[in-house]
Amino acid sequence: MVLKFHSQTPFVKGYIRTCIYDLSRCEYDLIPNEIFYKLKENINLEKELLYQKCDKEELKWVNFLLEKEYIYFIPSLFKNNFKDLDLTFKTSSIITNAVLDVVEYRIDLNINILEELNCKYLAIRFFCKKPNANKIAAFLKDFLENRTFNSIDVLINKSSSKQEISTKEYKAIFEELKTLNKLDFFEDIKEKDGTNTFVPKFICNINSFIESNNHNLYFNKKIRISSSGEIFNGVETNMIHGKMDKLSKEEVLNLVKLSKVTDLWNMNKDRIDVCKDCEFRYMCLDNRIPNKRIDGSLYYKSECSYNPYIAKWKNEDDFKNLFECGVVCNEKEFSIDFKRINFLNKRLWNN
Amino acid sequence: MKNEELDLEELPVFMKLGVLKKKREKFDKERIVYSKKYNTKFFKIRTLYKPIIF
Repeated sequence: MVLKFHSQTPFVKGYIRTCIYDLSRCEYDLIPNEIFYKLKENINLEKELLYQKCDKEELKWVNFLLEKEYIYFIPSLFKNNFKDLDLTFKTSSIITNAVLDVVEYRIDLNINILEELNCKYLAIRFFCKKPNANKIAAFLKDFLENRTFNSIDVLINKSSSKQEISTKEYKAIFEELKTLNKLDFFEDIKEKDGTNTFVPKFICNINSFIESNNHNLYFNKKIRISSSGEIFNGVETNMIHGKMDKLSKEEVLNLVKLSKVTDLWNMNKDRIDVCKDCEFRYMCLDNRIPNKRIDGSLYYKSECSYNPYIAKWKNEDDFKNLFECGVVCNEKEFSIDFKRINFLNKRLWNN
Repeated sequence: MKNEELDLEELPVFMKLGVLKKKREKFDKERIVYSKKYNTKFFKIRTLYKPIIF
């Protein structure tokens, strides 16, 4: 019997710990980097030999990983029969998801183009002075007739809407429209000065893992169309790439192939400073816009609430921000004070 | 290696046929309940694996 890693539970190494992505169960676990190194160098090793090589503490981790089915022992006869996970991102869609802004239940744009781009997932944001559930339902019923979208998210602006629409009315909307996936409220994004702390959302599944290995998970293959037809990368961006009503189908097709649109799509976490050292980088949904330095390297203006260099969250007692750890990440440079981080980690974790 | 030399007890769980069969039965059962509820064999909203808006 020899040691194997399960291909659907990839190990992603961070600065001081490794995250195991359980892609089938949509969960994750964390182990020390030392255990990851130990196992990695002993793949295909006989069970007895591995047990001899491990000390008591390491054996505890091995048993934990076996119990969770992240590693396993198989007869050496089968050791070459398990393929690695194919991380090539493939999709038949030119655009996979789009955000459509609707003002006062009206849209005068040709949305067929979205279907021609094979966009399957749509989020419609309603901007209404006094949102009315019946009017929204009537609009959606008319709008969705003979459409090919797989699911629709409906978001209604928050201004006093909670009083106007009762829970019963939401349910009425859900009952009638089978493609409706989600109904929620939103607030307009306020201007951020770049000093706010970012709180990430984690998504652990096989599709998001493959996509984030190749692209920016949040912005990839997404466009937003404003009520006046302007095309943006997303809700968070201000750069207009074109106007939907002035473009033909071919022109829209060419537009989404241009680098000014796809640049953001390809900014995956492996290219972004700080994030590239984080063990959560392939499950992190991040709506911040990466900034480019003169040398082409990427960084975020606002800091994340998780510090990968000491593996601590902002709400934890011993949290230190990047500056306190000796990490400088700004528009000019990215540098790490390894000595300081080692000193801090010894104090934090060596009990 | 012959089959008799394989220690079936020691095989990882996912390689045991019984477990796969059980999982398949559970899946089929759920699918039938779902089809009856929505009076359809295949209809299901296929949502995107990530939120569209943060």
